[in-house]
Amino acid sequence: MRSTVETHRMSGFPVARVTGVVLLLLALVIAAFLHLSLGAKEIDWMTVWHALFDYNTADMDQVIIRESRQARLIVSVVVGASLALAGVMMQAISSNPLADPGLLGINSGAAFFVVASLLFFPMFGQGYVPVFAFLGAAFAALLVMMLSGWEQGSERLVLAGVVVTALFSAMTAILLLIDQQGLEKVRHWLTGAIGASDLKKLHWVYPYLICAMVGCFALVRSLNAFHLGERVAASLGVNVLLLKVSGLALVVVLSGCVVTVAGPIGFVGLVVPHVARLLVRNSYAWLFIYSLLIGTLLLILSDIAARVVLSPYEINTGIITAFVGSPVFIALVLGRMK
Amino acid sequence: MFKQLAVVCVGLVGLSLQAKEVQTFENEYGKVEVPVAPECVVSLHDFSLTIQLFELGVQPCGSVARKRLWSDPIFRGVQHRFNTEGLTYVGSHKSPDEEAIAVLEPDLIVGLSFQSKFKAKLDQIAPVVILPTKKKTIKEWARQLAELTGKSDRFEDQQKEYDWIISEFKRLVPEPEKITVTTLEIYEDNFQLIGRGGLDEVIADMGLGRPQGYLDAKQGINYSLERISDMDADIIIDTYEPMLDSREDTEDFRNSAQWKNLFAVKNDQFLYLNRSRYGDSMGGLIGSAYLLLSHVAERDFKKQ
Repeated sequence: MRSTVETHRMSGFPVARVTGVVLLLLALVIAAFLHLSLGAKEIDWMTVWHALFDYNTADMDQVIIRESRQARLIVSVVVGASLALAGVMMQAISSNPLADPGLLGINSGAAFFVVASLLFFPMFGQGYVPVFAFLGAAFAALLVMMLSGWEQGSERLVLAGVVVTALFSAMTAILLLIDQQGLEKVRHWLTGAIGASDLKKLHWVYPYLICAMVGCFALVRSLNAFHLGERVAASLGVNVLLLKVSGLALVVVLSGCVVTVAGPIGFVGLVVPHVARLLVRNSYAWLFIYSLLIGTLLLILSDIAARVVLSPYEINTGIITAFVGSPVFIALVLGRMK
Repeated sequence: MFKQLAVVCVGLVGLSLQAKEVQTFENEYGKVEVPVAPECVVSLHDFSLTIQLFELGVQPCGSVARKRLWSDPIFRGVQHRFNTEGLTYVGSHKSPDEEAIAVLEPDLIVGLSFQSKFKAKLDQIAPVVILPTKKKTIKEWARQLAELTGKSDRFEDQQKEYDWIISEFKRLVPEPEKITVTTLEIYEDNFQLIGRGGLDEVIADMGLGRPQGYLDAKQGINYSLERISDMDADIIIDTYEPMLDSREDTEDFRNSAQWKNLFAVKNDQFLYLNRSRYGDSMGGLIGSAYLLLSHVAERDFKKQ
């Protein structure tokens, strides 16, 4: 432990890591410009520039950028960052590289509760959607934890997640079946639809999101200690149970917010922490920063792909992230089996 | 005693069969033996067939409808125009309830082109006639339905009224092709080019033009709202569905600069109609034709 701490102190200013962050930010800016210029209608970069810094409401292309694509970009950024942080936190507190809010049924639980609330409690306004999403995410998380047991072996945790995901997906399917007419528009949202989202939905959840993101960074010291093992963490004064509970609560809030805004989008929380760990290993502060940037980048690129790959058809962003994430998940499982 | 009863029963069955005179109906989907005067017709589509049956003066005994949990079925486009008492709900148009249909003991079942897949099963209950709603116009398949139910006279009246509206329109608007019309449905994050209630058929019959963006695009595709300016026209017609709160769901877009900058919107030439007001029926054609006659031929408006 002492040697690790000394190594950190001696390293001084982390040039490589800061450079990495700058490069990622640069990539993000380019991706954001691409996001604003590509889509159902091709718009040149100069128009994008004018729309951002010299807005003319009479120019229809500039209006599209300001009224439609800008909002979509902001939603992509927030969703990507939230899912990435949730993934890092989930993997950290479960000490399991396969943990992800999507794979562990948390997103499915949130989605089921939202769909059920629309069906059974239509009297509650849409402002209550985040509440039901949080309840569903929390219920699913507790269910997975109970099924996987206190020790939470990797395989058992993933199996429990698969079971809970299947359970909530089946229950959602039943609801859709018994009220086909009323829940028609929910089908689209259930596969992760950034396009169907808007700033209004983001407005419902941003206070919770900000708190949860700050909360993640507040737990960095404890997570760094926990990374060395539960006993070491306890000996360093970390309340392991409190850490796990608060970490899980943060995952629930982050996932619930994402489901509220854009529906259940899977695999981002799985893929991003692994990519980030290729660049940074020891510090959760850096892991959070890198994951946040990579998650944002991944979501922006996925949303671009969703709009241009099958143009003029537009596919849901959640389908693209599943295409990206599934091979990574298979590779991780095969790697563990070896 | 049993022998006598059996003879009486066979006799009664024979009499009832004799009473039901049958005819052979033939269309694109083959030949079907159907009763000349069907007493219990089941419709597999509320928004087109059920409405057209009522318009012809035939009260169907069963029809598919739209059903939400814990609410009564809604026969879309039907119940605000006709008395639906005695009309039994028989499932949805995507999955008709075979048992509910069988209980009615119908002597004729009518369906749409896409429902030909149900024919084999439903044929065991009653003769099934599929009408070519996909390839033929409303006028053409409605004529077939009228022949099938023995109501050709009523159909001819409808056809006559419709033809008059079209001829009146053409008399008042000498160059209709120079007026462009876009029919669409705007949803929360996309739109489709579609004109229900026979609107597209009426526009074609009136000879009205379409904007280039509309001609280049395809029907049945959900386009991004970013493409809306490509569809700008002299007149834009959108519809809202009260059952689905679509008016409220799309309000933000209609308040956007993207929408307000459209020529048709700027010049108050945007028509926002109830999607279920007129069905895909002859009555729908007539209603839509009167609407266009009033909004295009009987008022001043600007061209792009």
